[in-house]
Amino acid sequence: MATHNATIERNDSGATLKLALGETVLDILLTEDKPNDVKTVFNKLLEQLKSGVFDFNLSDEKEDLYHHICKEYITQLNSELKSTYKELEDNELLKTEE
Amino acid sequence: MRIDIHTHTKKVKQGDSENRNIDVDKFTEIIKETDVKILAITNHNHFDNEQYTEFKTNVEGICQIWPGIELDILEEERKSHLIIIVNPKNVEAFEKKVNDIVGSTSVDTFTISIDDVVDNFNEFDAIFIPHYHSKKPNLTDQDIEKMLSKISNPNRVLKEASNSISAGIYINHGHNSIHGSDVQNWNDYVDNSKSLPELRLPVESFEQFCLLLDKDDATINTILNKKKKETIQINPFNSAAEIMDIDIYNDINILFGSKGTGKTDILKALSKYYNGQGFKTEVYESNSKKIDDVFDLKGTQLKIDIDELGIDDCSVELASLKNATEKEVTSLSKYLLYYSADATNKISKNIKVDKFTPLDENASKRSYEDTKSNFRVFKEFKDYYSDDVKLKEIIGVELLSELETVVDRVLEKISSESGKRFTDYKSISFFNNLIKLFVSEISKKTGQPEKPTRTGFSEYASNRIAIEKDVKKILENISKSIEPIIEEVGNLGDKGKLYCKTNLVIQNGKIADVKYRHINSTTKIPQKSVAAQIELISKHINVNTLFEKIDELIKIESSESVSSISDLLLFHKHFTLNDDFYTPSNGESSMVLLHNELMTDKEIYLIDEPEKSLGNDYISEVIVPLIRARAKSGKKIIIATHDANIAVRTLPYNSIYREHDISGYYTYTGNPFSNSLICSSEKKVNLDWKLISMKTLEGGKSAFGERGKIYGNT
Repeated sequence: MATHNATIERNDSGATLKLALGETVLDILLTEDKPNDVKTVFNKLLEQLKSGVFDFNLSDEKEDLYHHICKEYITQLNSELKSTYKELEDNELLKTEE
Repeated sequence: MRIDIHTHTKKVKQGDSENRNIDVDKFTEIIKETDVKILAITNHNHFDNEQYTEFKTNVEGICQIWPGIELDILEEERKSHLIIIVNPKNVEAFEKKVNDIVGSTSVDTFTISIDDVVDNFNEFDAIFIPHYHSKKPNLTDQDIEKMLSKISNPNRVLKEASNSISAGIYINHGHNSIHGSDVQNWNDYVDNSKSLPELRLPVESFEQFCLLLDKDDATINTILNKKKKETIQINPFNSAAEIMDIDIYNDINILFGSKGTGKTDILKALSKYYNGQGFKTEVYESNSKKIDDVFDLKGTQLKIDIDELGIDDCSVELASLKNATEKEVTSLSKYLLYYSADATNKISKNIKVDKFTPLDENASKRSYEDTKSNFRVFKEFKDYYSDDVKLKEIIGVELLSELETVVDRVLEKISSESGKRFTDYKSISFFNNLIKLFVSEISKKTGQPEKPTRTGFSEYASNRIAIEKDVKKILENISKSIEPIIEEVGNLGDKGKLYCKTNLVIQNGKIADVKYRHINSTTKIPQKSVAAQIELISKHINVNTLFEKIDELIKIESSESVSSISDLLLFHKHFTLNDDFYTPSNGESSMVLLHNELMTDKEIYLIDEPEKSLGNDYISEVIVPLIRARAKSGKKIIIATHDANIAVRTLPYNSIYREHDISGYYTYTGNPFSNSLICSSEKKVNLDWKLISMKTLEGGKSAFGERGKIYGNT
C-alpha cells in the first residue's frame, strides 16, 4: 500500500491541509467551509483509489489546533479510503493493468 | 399412382439391350422405389408366363402386373409395333395363344397382320396400343382405322406416344393416347418412372381400368364415392330461392364459371359453414393482402423479449440513476469547532470511546448480504426440485436423494458462514453506534460541539460507486449487438429465396438512421437523447458536475418513457434476396403468399382466384403440385378459378360450374372422369365438362394439350 504525504500550510488568513498525490497536491481549506472544494478532492481521491489503495501520513511538528484537526481528519480519512477501496474491489470497478 | 403400359423384362431380339434383362429381386426392389402401381410386361413377340407369375407374386399388394406383348406388325410391307395388354384372368390362354402364333419362328423375324392380331387377341379382353406418329416404328392412321373397324369397343385402342408432351398434343386433338417407359435400362427406371402417366383415380383392377376407358358412370362413381365427401347446404346469396346443396370432397373441388356468377360468395358461405362446425377457415383472396402487412414490416405485432437475447432490461438501474442524489461531506468547521472548544468536564476527558475511529460497516454488510443471497438461491433451487414431481420421475428417487444430501450440506455451510458474517456486521454496527451515542451524549452533557466521526468520504464515494456501477451496467447492455431475425418468406424460383429480415439495435445515442423505428411505441420518444445523456453521465462520475448531468437527464422531455433498455430497442424490418435489400413485385408477392397459404397445414383450404398476378409456369410447376399434394393427404381444397391450369390440370374430383343466363343462375356439378356436368336444378341439360372448361377457362385449350401427363380422362 502506498503512503502519501500530508502537510499543513499555515498563513495569516488561515490554514490548509495539503494532500500530496505524486505531483498533484490536493488542498482542503481548514478555516472555511467550502463543501464543493472538499468534493473535488474526494473525487480525485476516489479516482486515484481505482489504481490502488493508499493512505496519508501527516508530517507536521507544530502541535496547534490545526495539527489536532488534521491528525483526526487523516486518521478518519485513512480508514474510509481503506473501506472504499474494498467497495471498489467488490464492485469490480478497479482499473486493471493493460 | 403411376401406370407403365410398356416394359421389357428380357433381351429377346438381337437388337435388344442387355440391360432389359432383370431378375425378380432387382425388379421388386426397383418397383418399391417408384410410384408405379400398374405395370404391363410387354416383351418383343414373346410372353414368359413363368416370369410373369414370379414377378406378379413378388410385388403383390405393391404393384399390379398385367400380361402383354409387343408385336411386330406387317401391313402392306410396312413394319410397325403394337402393344397388346390382356386381362390377367386370361393369362394362361394368352400364353398358349402367343406360343401357337409365334411357334418356332424366330422372334427377330416374326411378324403378324392387323387382321390376325384382332382375330387372335380380342377374345382375351385386350387393350391395343399401337405405336403412333413419333413413336417408331409406328402404325399409320389408316392402320389404326382398320384396327378400330374390327374391334367391337373402340375405347380399347390407345395410341402410344413417345412422351407426355406428345400424348398431351394427341389428346388435345381428340385422340386417346398414353405413353410408357419402353424401358431400355432398368438402372434408370426409378428416375424415368417420374415422367410416366399418373392415374388420378385409384384403379384397383384391369377391369376397372377398362371401364374408366369407357367412362362408365357407375365405375367412376364407385371410385369417387370411396373418397370421403359431405353434402353441405349453404345460402350464399341470402335467398331462399338459391339455397344450394353441394358435395365437397376431401380432395380438389373446383368452382368455375363466368365472372359475376357468385363464386366468391359461395366460398364465403362455405367458410361460414365450416367455421360454424368449429373449423377455423378464411377465404384466401389473392391480392387482398399486402405482403408488407402479412410479414408486418411496420412491426405493429412485433414483440421482442430482450431478456431472451441475453440483454438485461436495467429497469432497476435506470430508476436508481434517475433518483440518485448527492451525499454531503462532513463540514470542516465541525472539526474546527470541536477542537477549538476546551473540554473542561473531567469525566468526559477520561472517556475514550468517543476518541475511537468508526469501523468499516459497509464492507461487513456487503459480506453478510452475499451469503444471504447465496442462501436464497440454493433454497429456491431446493424448492424447485422438491416441488417438481415430473423431475422426480425423470431423475429417480435415488439420484434426487443424493442431490438433496449435497444441497442440504451446502445450505448448512452457507447458513453457518452467514451467521458469522451477521455477527461481524452487527458488532461493527453496534460499535459505530456506540461511538455516535457517546459523542452525542458527551456533547449534550458538556455543551461542547460534537466530535465529527467521519470525513464523509466513504458515504460520498459509496454513492458515486453505486451510480458508476449502474451506468456501467446500462451502457454494457446498450452496446450489445443483436443477431437479426430471419424468416423465410418464399421461393422466387431462379432469383432465389426471399427472406424477411428484422434488424434489431439498441439506441446508443448515435443512431440517426430513420429506417430504424421504435419497437414499443408509435409516439416519438427521446431514446437518442436519453442514451446520449447516459453516455455523458458516465464521463462525469468523478466530477462535481455529475448531478447536473443526472438532472439534465431527468429534464429531457418525456424521459420518463424510457424506463428500461427495451424502450431503447429499434428495429428495421425488410425483405432480402441473396442477402441484399429487396422489394418484391406484386407478382412475386402473390407467389409467395399463395405458396405460404398452401404450405400452412389446414384441414380446409378456401382459395379465391389463386391465379391472379401469377405466371402460368409458376401455377403449373409449383401451385398445381402443391394443391395435388394437399389433396393426396385428404385435405379439402375448394378453389374458385378462371384458370385452366388449376381447374383442368389438377383433375379435380369435383367441378362445380356456375352459369348465368336470362332466366337466372344455375349450378352444375361433375368431374373430368365422367366428362359431364349435371345441373342441380335439373332445369338444364347436362354439359360436356371438357367443352365447358375449354370455353370458360383462360388457357383452356393448352391446358388440355398437356394433360397427357395425367391419365384420367381422354
